[in-house]
Amino acid sequence: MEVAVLSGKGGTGKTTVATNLARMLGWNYADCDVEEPNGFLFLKPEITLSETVTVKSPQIDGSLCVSCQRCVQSCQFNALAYAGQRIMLFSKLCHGCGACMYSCQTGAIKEVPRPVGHVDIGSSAGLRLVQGVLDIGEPMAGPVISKVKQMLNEGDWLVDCSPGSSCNVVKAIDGADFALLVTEPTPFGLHDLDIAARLAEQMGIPHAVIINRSDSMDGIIHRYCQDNDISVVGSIPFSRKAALLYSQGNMLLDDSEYAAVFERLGSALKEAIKCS
Amino acid sequence: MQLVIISGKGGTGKTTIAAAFSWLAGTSIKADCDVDAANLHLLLGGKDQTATPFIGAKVAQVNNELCTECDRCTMACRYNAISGHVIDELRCEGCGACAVVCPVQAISLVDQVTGSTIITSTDKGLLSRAEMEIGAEGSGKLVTEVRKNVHLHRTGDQMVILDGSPGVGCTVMASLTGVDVALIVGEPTVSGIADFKRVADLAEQLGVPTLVCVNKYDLNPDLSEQLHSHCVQRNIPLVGRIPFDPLVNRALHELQPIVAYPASPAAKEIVAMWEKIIGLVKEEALDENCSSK
Amino acid sequence: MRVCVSSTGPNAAAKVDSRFGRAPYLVFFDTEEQTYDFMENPGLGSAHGAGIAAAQEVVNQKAEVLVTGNLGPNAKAVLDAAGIAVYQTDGRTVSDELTAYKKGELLPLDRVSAPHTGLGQQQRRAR
Repeated sequence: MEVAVLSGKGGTGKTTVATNLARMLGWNYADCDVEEPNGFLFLKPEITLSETVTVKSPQIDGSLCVSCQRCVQSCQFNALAYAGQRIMLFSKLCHGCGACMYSCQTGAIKEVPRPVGHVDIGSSAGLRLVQGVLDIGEPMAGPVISKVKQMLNEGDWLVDCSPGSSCNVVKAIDGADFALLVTEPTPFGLHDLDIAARLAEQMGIPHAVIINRSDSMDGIIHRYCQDNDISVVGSIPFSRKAALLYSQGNMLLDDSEYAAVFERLGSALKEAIKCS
Repeated sequence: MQLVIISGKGGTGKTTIAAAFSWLAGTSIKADCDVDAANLHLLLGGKDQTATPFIGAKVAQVNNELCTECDRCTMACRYNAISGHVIDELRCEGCGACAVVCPVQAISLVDQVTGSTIITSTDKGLLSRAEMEIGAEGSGKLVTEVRKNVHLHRTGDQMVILDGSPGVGCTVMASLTGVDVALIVGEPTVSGIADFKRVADLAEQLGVPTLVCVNKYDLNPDLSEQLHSHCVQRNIPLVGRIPFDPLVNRALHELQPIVAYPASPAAKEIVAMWEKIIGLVKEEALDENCSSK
Repeated sequence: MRVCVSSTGPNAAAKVDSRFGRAPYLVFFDTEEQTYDFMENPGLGSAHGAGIAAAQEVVNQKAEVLVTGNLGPNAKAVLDAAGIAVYQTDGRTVSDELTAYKKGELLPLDRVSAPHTGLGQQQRRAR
């Protein structure tokens, strides 16, 4: 079972929901928000293994190259150029797709690994934990996310995604059995919940909503969910206490009042998955 | 001057501050570079003037009449985007490797509309923004397009306020390059500090001068202090400490910028911060003139 | 000899575009034949690496000189490898810039436009 936790908007509490639910349900946790992975700050695992993530990067053998420039023309990302009688590679633009190598008629291009980030594997309180970390200045998160997803072999997983609805979120939720959409009762939260819900819908992933920082304004989210036939698993009330616990990197579960909230959310989530 | 507001972590208050600055700046032009979840237009209101389809990507297309079902494309594709000679458009990166290996030229790359760029006219000047198709690729290029529209409509040295996107990836890089100054909105949480460091590293790598403010600083004064000492260590000026203020949420629900509530403690600090930034920019302009003589 | 100018429009009266990779047009002027070729800039449609695509076009068109405003590090690397001299525009029309170039009035653009410097101690110290 793989449950993706996402939200159109950043900062709605994806990581709070994913980490606390993981611990409450005894599920494993994977952080696919590789640009800003934060789940490990809360779950504080002992990291037992760290693996470099690489992409394939072309290497050109000048002695075999006949300067036909087929590789330059084949590259859709402008990562190759031909000037001064040689092929130049701009590796940060390379997607590692292999088109240049396939296009080469003389076998002058081979591929070598180029590091773009790493994946950490650890454990905490019996849970398996994985996070992906993108190197600073690397524009493409996709390969790091894919590597994290490869690690999710057996068992139940909560997958923490990046905000938005871009290609990175698509990669992270691809193959998920269920999506949990975290929102907050503000006009921004509503606007971006709609984006997340449409993405889940388009990818054919059954989904439900959790309202974080719940207050007297929850009505705007409930109305949306009713109109769109999406179930609301529950809500997490706002309090300064919760904000403080979060700010210190502590789990909301450490507080008995919030532990009860997550217990209810956990069983409601299981129920929602069963019904989907 | 071009000022971009970024945060690393999502939800720290970028758009709240960008909307407040838009209100304070008078005749500025705005760009919402958070193309994945654009929100600034919700606060600024206004009327859309133009919407232009945006071709953000290419996608492979198979001509079934030519296809011999040899499966070379399926084997060549590194994104698992081809199965049974059908392209999965959500997975396709538009790299064209399939077209290269196809022995009968049955595959071509075609333009894909991935969103639209929009010019909205608001009470506080023009807003350049975009809406993306769900799950679309190429948001870095879209940011570039949004910024291009700014330059098409900008008059002379008109101030540009850019609302950035969270993270440190390609959209953030596209919103950071070539700006005069970046304001990082930090928050006093362990994740906020971790993300602040990453985005500050990125700005440094790109050579963009950086300022910092701490939002909701009083929710955890100890961590605010920690964030402050990081700034001191890295020589990044701290230009504001915005207190937690329930009025911010109310303003949001009423779709008003927080500075429309003069009694709000958060608004007061944002106004002071705005004046400080303008002061710093002027000072710098003077320095530049002196040093170029 | 062919001289390339990054341009806002497809005619000699158009203003020079100070951007290189994202300029709408590249104008190629043949100094012997006194003829113009106007090309759409291939960089314009690129999601990334616009400067590289534009520089490749300048190389392919066998220009020996480029007149533009700003040049990123990648584009500069390509032009340098091909030995193309780059001159700084004054922001006038394409024909004015070409006249100025012929008279030897243009300055070489030797500075790569790093994203703007200034403001804040960290950059000042680095200078």
